[in-house]
Amino acid sequence: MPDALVRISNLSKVFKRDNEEVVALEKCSLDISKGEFLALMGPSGSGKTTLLNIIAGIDRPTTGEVEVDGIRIASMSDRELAHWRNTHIGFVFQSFNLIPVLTAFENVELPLLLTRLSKPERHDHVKTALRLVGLEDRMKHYPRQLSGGQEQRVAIARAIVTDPTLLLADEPTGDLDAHAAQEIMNLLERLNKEFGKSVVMVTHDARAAHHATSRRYLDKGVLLKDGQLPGA
Amino acid sequence: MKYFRIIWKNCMRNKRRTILTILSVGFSLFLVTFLRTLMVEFSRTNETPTAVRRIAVHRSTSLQEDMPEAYRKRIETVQDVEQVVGMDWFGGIYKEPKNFFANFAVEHEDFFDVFPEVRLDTAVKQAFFAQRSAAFCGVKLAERFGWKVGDKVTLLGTIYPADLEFILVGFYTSAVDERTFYFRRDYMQEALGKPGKVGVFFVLARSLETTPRVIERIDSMFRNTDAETLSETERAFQAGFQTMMGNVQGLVLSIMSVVVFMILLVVGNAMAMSIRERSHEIAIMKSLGFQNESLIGILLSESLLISLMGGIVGCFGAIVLFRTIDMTRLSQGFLQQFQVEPLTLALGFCVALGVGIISGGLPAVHVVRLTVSDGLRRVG
Repeated sequence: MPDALVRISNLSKVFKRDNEEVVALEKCSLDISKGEFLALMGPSGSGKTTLLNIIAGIDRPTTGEVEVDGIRIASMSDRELAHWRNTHIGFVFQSFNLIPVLTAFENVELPLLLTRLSKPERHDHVKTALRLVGLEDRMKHYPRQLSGGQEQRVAIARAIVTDPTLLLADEPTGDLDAHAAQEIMNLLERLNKEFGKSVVMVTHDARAAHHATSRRYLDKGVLLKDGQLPGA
Repeated sequence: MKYFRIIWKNCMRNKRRTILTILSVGFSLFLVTFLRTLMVEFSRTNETPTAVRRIAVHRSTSLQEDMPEAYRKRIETVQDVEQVVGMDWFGGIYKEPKNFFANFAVEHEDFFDVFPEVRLDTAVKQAFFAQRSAAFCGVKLAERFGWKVGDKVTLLGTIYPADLEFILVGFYTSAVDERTFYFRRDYMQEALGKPGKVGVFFVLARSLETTPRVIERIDSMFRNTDAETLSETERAFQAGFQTMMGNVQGLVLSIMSVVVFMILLVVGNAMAMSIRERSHEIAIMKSLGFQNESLIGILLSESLLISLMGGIVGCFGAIVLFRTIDMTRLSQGFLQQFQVEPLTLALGFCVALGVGIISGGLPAVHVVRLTVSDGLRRVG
């Protein structure tokens, strides 16, 4: 795939737990193109989150290569990876992961504190992101004052505020009711279609996966072929 | 400064814990300030141009033993000696023991030449010279007991077998001490039946440079006599007094070290708890791109802020308290000038700074070791 945004080749990840070795991913190869909305699916323990963490530069592969937007991230130092994550990756977690003592505005501003933007510029970006997720009237609210769906929208605003290359979402609807989950999926779909954001989403939920433009399955650490379902 | 809001909000996340930690640091630094001020008070010496030329001559065996009065004439013959005055520590008490203050019998003719920092009006001086039972004291001592000129004051002898009654002729001022009571030595000698003994001779050397030679000459003069002398500068003499109280400085230093160690444990524990509870959030911040340096900086700033707030409570609390209460009265005259010096204040804040760095720094190592994926797996 010539215009691949993410190129994963022969990627394996082995965790060591005490003296036991656990193979989380085995020789996975995957290309994700620009503007793609990919749903990574599979049963618990199949290695979905591990793969997502490796693409985000949060975990390192045991073997294999990961290239994002032409940059080989496996060979980067921790410091380089942290800076790279800040500018290229937006991460949405299942349990929102907002900082409870900061307001919605301050939570969204967090990644921008690492940039060279001035305070007024930061504030403009934060307001834009919160407006995009429909929470401009909840800026001064603390996470505990928001519903689950609103918290996840703040988390999405935080993920997109730096205008990242790639948006990664780990079970973004896992902790939400059906209505809120639908809102979040609509928002992610909109970010993909209207704003051209490439999205990689890990999910169990077939309805959530339906919003994606492509779906790949993982089974016991093995990435199944395009169109192949587990057990098939 | 862009992280200040995060730092402040993290400090205020658990208000009760933060306030208790600040108060712990505050009380501990109050104690450090108090003890250091006490040490300064113990080692306070008179550094006026005359005071540095003064030599105290006393018996080599003990301060409690006297010397023959005749030594004065011989000391006056020593080269580079400018003036000599004999003095006795009377150790009398006013009405009851709790009213302690220093009281000295002095040879009145020469006293003011050797102790020019004791400033007395000429008229008062003349009255002191004219009347054998005359006495004068510092203005602060007079304030303490509400004494006025012409009052009769009786001191009950504790060392010497005599109770002496004096007539107050005036009050002196001094930059060094204003809480001492002086009276004429000839009056005390008369009351004791003229034993012809002196407790201490204060000798004024011609210059600071000649002081060591004068000391050597005086002690050589009385070597191998029944009453050998030990001459020392006034500073050394006062230090000798302090050592009579035992190794107070050593004791005070040990207490201060224990206090500092305790603050370290308290703040260190509070910071360790705070950081451990936030492992998950620290991992989130790392996932957003925060580097170890920034996170350690934030955590160190939190512990520094808490310990410096404790420093402000403790050190400035001590200043306000010592200005409000009369420590001299509280210590029955034992502590003369109980004021927090700038150096003590600086020491207090250095301790606060050190506590902040160490207590925040050690738990912050945990941050460096924490991987994002491990941290995200932790809840609470």
